[in-house]
Amino acid sequence: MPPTPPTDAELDALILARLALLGIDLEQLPLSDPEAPADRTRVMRSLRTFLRSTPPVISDYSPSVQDHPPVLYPAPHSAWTR
Amino acid sequence: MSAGIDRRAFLAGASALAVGGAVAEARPRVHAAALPEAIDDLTELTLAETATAIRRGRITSEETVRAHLERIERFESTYMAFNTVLAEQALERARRLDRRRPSGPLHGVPIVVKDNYWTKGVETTANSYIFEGFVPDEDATCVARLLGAGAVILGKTQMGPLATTRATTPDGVITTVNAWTPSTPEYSPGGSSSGSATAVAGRLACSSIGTQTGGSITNPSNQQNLTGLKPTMGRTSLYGVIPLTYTRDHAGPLARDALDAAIMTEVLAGPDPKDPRTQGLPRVPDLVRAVTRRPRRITLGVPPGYTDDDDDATAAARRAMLDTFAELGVRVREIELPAEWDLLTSGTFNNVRLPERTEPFLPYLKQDLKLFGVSLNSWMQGLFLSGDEWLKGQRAKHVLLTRVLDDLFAQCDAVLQTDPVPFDIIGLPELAFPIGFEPHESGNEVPIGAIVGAPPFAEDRLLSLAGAYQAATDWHLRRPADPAPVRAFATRPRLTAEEVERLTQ
Repeated sequence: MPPTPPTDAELDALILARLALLGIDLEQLPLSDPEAPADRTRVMRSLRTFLRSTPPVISDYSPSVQDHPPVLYPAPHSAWTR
Repeated sequence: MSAGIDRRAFLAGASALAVGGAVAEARPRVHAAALPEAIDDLTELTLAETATAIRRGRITSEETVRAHLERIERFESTYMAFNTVLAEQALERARRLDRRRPSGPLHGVPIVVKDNYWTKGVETTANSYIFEGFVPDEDATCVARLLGAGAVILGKTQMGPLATTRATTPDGVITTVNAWTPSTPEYSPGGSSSGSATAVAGRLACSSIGTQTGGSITNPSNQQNLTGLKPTMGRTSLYGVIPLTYTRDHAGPLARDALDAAIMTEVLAGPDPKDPRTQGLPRVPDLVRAVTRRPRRITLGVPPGYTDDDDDATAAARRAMLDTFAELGVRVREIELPAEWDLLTSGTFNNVRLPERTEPFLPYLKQDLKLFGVSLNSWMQGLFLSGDEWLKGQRAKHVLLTRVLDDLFAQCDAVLQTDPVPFDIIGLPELAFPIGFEPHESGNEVPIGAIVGAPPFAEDRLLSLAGAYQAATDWHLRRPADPAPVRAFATRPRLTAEEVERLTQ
């Protein structure tokens, strides 16, 4: 049985704890202000969406560790190795 | 300029303009077979034509700089292509260059620079609150090379905040408009090198440089009828460029045509002691000569569905382009995309770039989130990918590279693109070029463009294709009408954080 997907509240706790650990204060932004370039409500919604969509897909992918080294610069890597 | 200028003949003759590796010391051989007899409008000359006219004493640098500055004076309030116009400095440099014997390939040619390149003594903001008041004490390597080649910098151009999306203020108010739809700010000029594109399309400068992380050279080039070259990662130095995504950023030109793009790239390209990414790579070939080389032995790959676009005009333009290439002797072939293409080039795997976006900006995130304006979301997202996921993303880049080189390029020598991001992810070269026009609801016609990609360091192949295509077509010669008098800034719409997140490169 896969674990139960996290709720919004659980993700919010994760997000706020991570930000606090790094010393980033989300309270610098207004709670909810559509006229502001950014607000806490929209940032939290964006981060919840990101957490639900990106890490699970990447973590499910399993390339061959032997055949595919991590490369920061694929195109120069091809010139350096081929 | 006389209406009968034969740019195709010029192109054929211009192959002898060799830039060489040591740009600052280069003494290019210039040969222009068909400079126009009458040069009525200096801003209509391409970079190659301008350089040739100056070298032959037909015009002075001061004359062409002044002509471009006059257009900036007349139209910049509508185009909003610039962050900074360096009128006095440009005129002074032009007069100084006019007193010297031409030596560099860009001697006296007026160009513009995106505002994320360091410029010594000139504010460099990347359209962000973070860099307000930042005045570098040295030039980015690309800027230094342009100056070493004799260019005159007219100004720093508008861009998406921190190079994310189309040009806006840090708070998201649209600034730069598309030169083809100047009274319709909603129609995108392309981003994030928006101001560079509008300046060249609007004949405010002969040529320009931009940067690309996810389409920021190719997209504005397609939107504004320009020829833009995103070189292979490492081909051009990124030293002195404010990073958006350090391993994904590329420097390259947005130019009037393939020849101009080749000249600019030859000036910019080559190893830079200050940028290790440029070291140990294949030598830069003769890109200018490549423009006039017939691409007869090239097989051009066409991805599935390429001519099935919902937009009839785009599909028709693409079909006509393929016909033209076939007539030029290019083998046109439908290809199959590599396994897991959709997954490996998806937005999800593209998000692997975000932690390295965040990393150098962490002190600013701690200091004041409002500094990021409307672009904050993607910088915050970069904090939420784990180390193992980031590393797996780097493996996935190798998977994609291997499959592109071994599977995709086993079928063709160059490949048309429906999206610049896949080749941005693995650092392969891409060239954008105009292939037609379509009506727009504003009443204007707007450009249709194509993007073609190649294996690593095969910029010469791309330029050969574009040069041959432009010798057989005239889309790239079209010029937008001058804009009507000023529109009020207050009427310009604003992008939301969600739109910026969706559009961000």
